[in-house]
Amino acid sequence: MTSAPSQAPRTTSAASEGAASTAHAHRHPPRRVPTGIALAVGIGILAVLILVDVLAPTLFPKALPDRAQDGLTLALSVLIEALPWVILGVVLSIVVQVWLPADAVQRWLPRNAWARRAVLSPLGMFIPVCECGDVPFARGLMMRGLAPAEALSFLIAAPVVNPIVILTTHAAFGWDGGILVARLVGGYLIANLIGWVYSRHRDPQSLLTDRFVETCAHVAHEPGTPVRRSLIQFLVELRAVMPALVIGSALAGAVQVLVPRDVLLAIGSNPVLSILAMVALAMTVAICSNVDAFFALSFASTFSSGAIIAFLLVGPLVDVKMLALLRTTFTGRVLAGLVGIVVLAACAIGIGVNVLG
Amino acid sequence: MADTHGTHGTPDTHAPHESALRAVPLRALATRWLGMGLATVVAVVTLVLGVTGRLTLYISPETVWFACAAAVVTLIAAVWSCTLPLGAEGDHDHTAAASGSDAAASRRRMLQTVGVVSGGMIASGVVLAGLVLPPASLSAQLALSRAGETPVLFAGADDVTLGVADTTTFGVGDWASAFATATRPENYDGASVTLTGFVTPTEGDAVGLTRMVITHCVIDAQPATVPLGGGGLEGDYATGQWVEVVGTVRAESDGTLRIETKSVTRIDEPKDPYEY
Repeated sequence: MTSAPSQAPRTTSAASEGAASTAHAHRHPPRRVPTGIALAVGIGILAVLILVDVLAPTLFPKALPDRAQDGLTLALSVLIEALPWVILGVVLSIVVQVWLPADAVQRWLPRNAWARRAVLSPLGMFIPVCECGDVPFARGLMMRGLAPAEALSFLIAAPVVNPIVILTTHAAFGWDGGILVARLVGGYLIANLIGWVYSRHRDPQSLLTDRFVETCAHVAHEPGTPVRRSLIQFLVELRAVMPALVIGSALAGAVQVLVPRDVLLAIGSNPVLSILAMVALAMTVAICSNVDAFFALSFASTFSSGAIIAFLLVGPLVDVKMLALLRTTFTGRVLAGLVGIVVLAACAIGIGVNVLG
Repeated sequence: MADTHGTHGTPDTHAPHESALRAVPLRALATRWLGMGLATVVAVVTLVLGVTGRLTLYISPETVWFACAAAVVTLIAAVWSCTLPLGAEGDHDHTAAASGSDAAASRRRMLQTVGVVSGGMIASGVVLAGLVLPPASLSAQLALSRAGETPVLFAGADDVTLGVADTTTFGVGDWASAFATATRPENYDGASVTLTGFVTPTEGDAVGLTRMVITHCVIDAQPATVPLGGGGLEGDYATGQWVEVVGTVRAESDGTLRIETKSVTRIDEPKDPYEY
């Protein structure tokens, strides 16, 4: 990941101050904008935004038709819900990337590839970030030299094998029908399966988007104090994640108002079709994995427990919002494979539960 | 954000660099907007809603503190990030150097740019709409389109099925659960209720009292409906009209439950339109 040859100008000490912005360095060669003025500008922009937010709504009392307004409300709800987790994930990613010693991650992990993935998957237990925060955190791990396949085995497990998710799933279902156990074991197995599949890829770097590889190179050569690098990392990660998060939320909102849900639910209790229906529902509603158990609970009376488990496995891993976030880092082909493996595995587990349970 | 201001003051000196000056800051400005900018706007929306007590229009009261704390952190970082020059996050066009100059590569780059620009426009549109438009609750139409998803069984409804619950604090969601799952409906017969919700049509020409019930955030909203019958319903109520209903629970001979209304009052949409 340290394969950017043309970063030479950045290594001079003067560069750490202002050369990153070559645009105007030649206009004010020695100085950049004084900190005080910059902060004042920032506060000014903030004040304008707050004013707009407070005053503008009074100008448009009811601007949108019902359906568009519902879509917007739903999208904003996901967005407001997800932003804190994203910020938490970005902060953790900064800790790994800037503040931990470079070899710390490598030193803590076992050397054997299977053991590494087996340890990384339950890492979510100790880093209780919801699925949206997992992506920036995993990016931080990869910038620190974790292989893409290993990052995937973390990314796929963490939204399920996670203390908050265990608590809420238990609150919703208790030990009924083995749903909690099937969810945890299933999530863990799927994550390791995916880690194994992609660890066999001949050229792991080609799993990643060019953009992410560039970011890795850029970040690895970033000069300056740890505090400055932290702030830059904050900007870099937000730039990568925010548009994807907004588009994912908008998709989730749009799907909810455009796709008639009763069509999916009419399929009812057929043991195989009901699983497919719940998988489709899981991918489109994009409910946070922390609470999807309560949502699934309301379908428990009409759908088989295998279908509920499939919903609880697919939703956190490959719903529209998560796919938009993952696309910032992994290529479209990887995502297609990911969806295929997760859906097939979840269906297999669901059918298994329906047959055996 | 700050360095757009690096160019003011002495406009006469920058003529030779005109194009370079324009191209780079625009790109850098877009980068800063799509990252920190979008996050800042969402944080401002969150915080203003939080301060005015309307954040429950979108998320559950339990997570309000978390959302607000993260919004404050985001805003501090946003102001602080103004001390970094535009372009510090290094979103330069490395691809040009990396992938040579053949036609396929340049077409791919072109497509990529189109993707980034259109994605950025959509994301900006959604976030700005959130900033500029007033917050709204879900419409009655959405509630109706999901009405088929019942029987409702809401979290925490265990005590309802036991039939021993204290019904004085029941909302529409609790009653809908009780009506759908009660094994001995006669236990509820005669309980007096005061409920707030909006009017929806049910089978036949009966009227239902509906409220959206949320476990975590609006995306998991599900409608809960109780059937109404009795006095005060003669007037023509539009679907979605908010009302306050005072009445009594009645068990029908076929074992179903409904609410016999004593009075129905039209009200404005309450400040907290959802039940949690």
